[in-house]
Amino acid sequence: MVIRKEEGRFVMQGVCDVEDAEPLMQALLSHDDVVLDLGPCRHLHCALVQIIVRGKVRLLPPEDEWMRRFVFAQLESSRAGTLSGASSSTQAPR
Amino acid sequence: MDPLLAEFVAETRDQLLAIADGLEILRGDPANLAEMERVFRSVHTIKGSAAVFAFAPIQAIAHEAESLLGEAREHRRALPPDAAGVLFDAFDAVALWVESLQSAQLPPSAEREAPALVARVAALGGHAPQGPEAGRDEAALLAEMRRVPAPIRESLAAAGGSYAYVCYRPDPGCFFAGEDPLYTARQMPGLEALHLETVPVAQGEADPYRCDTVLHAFCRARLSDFETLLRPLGGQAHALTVAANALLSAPGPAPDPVRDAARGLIARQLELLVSNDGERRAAVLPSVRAVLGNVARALGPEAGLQGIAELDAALLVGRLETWLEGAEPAPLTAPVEAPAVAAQEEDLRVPPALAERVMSAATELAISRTTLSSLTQRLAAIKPGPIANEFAALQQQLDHQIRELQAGLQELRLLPLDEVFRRLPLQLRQLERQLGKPAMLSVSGENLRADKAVCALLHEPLLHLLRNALDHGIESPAERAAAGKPSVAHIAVEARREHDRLLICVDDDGRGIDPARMRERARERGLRDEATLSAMDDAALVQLVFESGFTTADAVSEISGRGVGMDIVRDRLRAAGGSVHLESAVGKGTQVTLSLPVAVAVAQVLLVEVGGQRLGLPLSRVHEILRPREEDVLHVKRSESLQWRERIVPLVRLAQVLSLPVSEARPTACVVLNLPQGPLALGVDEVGENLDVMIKPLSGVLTELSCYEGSALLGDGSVLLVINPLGIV
Repeated sequence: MVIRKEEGRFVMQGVCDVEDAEPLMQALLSHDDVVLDLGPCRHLHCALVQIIVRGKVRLLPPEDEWMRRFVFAQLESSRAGTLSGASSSTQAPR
Repeated sequence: MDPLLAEFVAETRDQLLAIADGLEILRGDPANLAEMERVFRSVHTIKGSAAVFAFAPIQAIAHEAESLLGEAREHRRALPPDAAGVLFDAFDAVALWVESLQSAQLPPSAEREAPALVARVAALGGHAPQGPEAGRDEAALLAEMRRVPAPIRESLAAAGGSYAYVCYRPDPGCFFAGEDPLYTARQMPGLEALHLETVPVAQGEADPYRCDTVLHAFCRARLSDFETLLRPLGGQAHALTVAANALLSAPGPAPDPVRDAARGLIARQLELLVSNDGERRAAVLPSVRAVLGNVARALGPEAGLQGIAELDAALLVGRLETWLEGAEPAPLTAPVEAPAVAAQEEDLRVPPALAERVMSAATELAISRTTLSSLTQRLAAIKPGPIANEFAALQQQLDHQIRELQAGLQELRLLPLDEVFRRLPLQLRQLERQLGKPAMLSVSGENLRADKAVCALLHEPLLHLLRNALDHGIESPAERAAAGKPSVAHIAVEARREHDRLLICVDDDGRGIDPARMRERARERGLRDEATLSAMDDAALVQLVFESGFTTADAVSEISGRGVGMDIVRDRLRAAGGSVHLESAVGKGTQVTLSLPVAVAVAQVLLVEVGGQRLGLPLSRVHEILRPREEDVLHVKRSESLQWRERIVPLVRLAQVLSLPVSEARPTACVVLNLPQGPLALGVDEVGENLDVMIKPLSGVLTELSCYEGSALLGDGSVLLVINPLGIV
């Protein structure tokens, strides 16, 4: 478990793996205006990214360069609803 | 070694061990689901970690093994009876490659051997090896690419050149298989853009463990660079090379009217700036800035126009030109290569060199303490009083603290023996194959910890013993059958600790060593004269295997070599203050016991004096020190005994052991030693203080003297010989 609550925000730390999916989802479902601090997060499992995309959260950027460039930017835009691809408008065919 | 690679080696060793354990069970019980699951998980982990280093041969083997085990555990295909054997061969090869890793490069043999192994594993599953996925329909892949939002494609197109486009549509259940598609994305070479397309589902209704994300990646790399990364993903990922202009020519989503209007406005502002200079430009600037500010707000942060209104005119021109050319704003920092994911380093790992440095500083500290201790004693003798007392108290405190420090540091150096033992099953299987003698290995005591140096030293002797056991000790299956023995031989490796010694027994149920034949061989080789040989008992004769150049094998095989082996084992152990002992029973087997100090660093010794010489006795063996009364010493024929705690224990004069003159009178002091055979009283002239010393193994001719454990340098610069209590009886 690498999610910890700290001064009104949830901090994701280190390499966040799939085991954190359940606690993260619970955290987002049971709190309003969640602030998720990705600062110390070195990697987010894909399962966690899905949860964040679907949640109403305010994000603080990760220090990890790769995370910031390839994940955070898109999470931010999907939250703001300005970038269609990350979430809403497309229906993934199977 | 690169720390990430070291991590890979350590982790893969663990997984290979688990695979071997599981396969051993599956060999006898091919339908055991729990073991199948265990092996599957380990294989999967290896596949994943091998991908990090692009170790294609390992990935290919793991991939095939995973498919085979996957089908079996889902009851789609039973595991063939020979599966365990084939998988053993394949993963033993992987183990050898991994053990030989010095850099992130597998040995050349890996490339050579892998195809045959992959084919054998694939054949178990009834198919040809699944090579890299054949290219999927290009049009379908281009259609996938068009799902990526236009701004992303535009910005990539603007940079020109070509990209490798990867569409990775992970299996919905992939999280359960331990996959993290985002981690895979991290491994992609030259990643320029990544788009995550997630199926919209309300948070509360989504299954957090179902993968609903499609990954679109654009990389500055060749398709061949992806082969190793994507092969394990099978049909989940497809790659295609696209030229920059093809990114845009693909019909994207409906044109964005706001963006088009913004383009027009920005082009107009640029024209205003370029066509005016000096005062006129200064005059239009406020209105240009106002318009740009509005455009930036309308487009949002993704347009990359934030802060544009604050730029000075010259910079503004360049920036607007770039923007209109389709490029997103130049990043504030230089573009960076996607960094590899950092290894999870939650444990504190200490580099061995640093641990060594701290250890040796602590040893020096202990030696200084010894010097200080003698000063304190001198002070107390010359000027007894409060100051001397304070010194003594401080000295005691320091003693305690230094001991704590040393204990902690020694712990740091201790490794579980598992580090050594885990390689044995692999070696045994190789020997089994080479020699055609089936054998089973049982290992116990692998959780015991020993000094890092001891572990490092044990590996080779143990390997020699294992080879010797299987090559010379264990009979051929036919011979075993004739002798009424089980066809599968048994070799047991057991570690146990006795005080500060580590004992490792290698026990086989083979033919044993025939003392009569040993005598004959020794005679032929002139190792001893006839009289000595005749006088030697069986136990002594079998010890001759430790003589240099001696072998009892009928034929010198490639396995055990030409008569080298046991003498190497003996020499290696002696050099580290250890010893080796062999017992054998004809027809029943041989047991070789290695004895080593658990820690080679600092030991406590008790100073004793005999014949005017100062010597050290390892304190760990000292049970009690006493001054015997006349009636405590009993004489039976020529030997002496000591009455101690209502027992009679043998009394040995240290002077006699060391060939010094022995006084007729009873010894002034006796040190009762704790030995495996029972207590033994050692008669000495005087007993002194306890010292912390670093015992170094003896070198040269002195190594032949079993009564010495080693030597230690004392604080006053003199050399102290330390007695090996086990060598005096």
